[in-house]
Amino acid sequence: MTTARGGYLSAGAALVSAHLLVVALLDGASRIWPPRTGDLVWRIVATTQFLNSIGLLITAIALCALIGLLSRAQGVLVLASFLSAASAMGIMALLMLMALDYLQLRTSIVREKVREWDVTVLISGVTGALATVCLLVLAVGAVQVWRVLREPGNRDKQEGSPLLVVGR
Amino acid sequence: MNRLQQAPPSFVASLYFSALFLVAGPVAFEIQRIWPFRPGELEWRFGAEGFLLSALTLPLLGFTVATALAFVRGNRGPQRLIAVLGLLVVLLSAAVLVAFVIDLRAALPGVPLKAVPVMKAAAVRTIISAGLAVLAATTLAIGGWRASFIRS
Repeated sequence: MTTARGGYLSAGAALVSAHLLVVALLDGASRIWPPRTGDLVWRIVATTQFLNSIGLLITAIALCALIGLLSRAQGVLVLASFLSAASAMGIMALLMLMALDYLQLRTSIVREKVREWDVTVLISGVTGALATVCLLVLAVGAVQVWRVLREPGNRDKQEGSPLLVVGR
Repeated sequence: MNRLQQAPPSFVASLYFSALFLVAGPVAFEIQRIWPFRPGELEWRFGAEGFLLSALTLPLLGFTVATALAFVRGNRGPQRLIAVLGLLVVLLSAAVLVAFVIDLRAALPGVPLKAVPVMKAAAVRTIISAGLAVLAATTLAIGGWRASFIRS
């Protein structure tokens, strides 16, 4: 769709976005491979490691939303909104699971290590909360732009959308 | 967009330099990692190719920023230069990717059995991300080149 509406330039930007998304997911997965979902410590470490690569994920989705905005491609905006909302939900679920796991783990850690674990889990919690807010705002913003573009009067206006010019 | 078109040249230059840093920084870092060059050794070659292909993300972002900036500003000369340089880097990256696959096949028999699945997983990850980066950069370069001929 992007190719049809925005030409090679927007298609290229969409592929860059896809590349960032794939790299973020593969990076996150390779750090925590092989999965040991029954292991409490692995689950906490996996969440913290995954949250370390969240910046790339947010950049990818933001780029996707930007392409949708500039090329006025409604499908891309819906996709960006869906990806943002789904990622935000996923991160929230991970954070809750991490909090519950950590409460359980904290009772069995050696006293000297408690402070270290506290800091790690706190930083991950704050990072995750910020990422969730950022993704939710992105999802709402993309939906708002999509709703404006859905109006018949706005759909065909092309000023201010530089990527469209390339597709002509 | 209008604000960016009217922005002072120093500001635009700083954005171009930021894009350049995004491209050159990771490349310089990876060259430092693989120095000194020993292209005759399979082990070094395979490692160097892997490092270079894994470091394509930030240069790709820099290339995207530079292309978008030149397009929005309507700087046709720089836009064509960026597109041509981008295509050259794409060709180089594609050649490294092919060499990586060939060297992977040559290196696998010498790897201990236990390490083979890990190495294969890392190689697949590198090939997927680098392949996607090459495809994205090719499309961007062609798009940038074509866009440079459009009258605003």
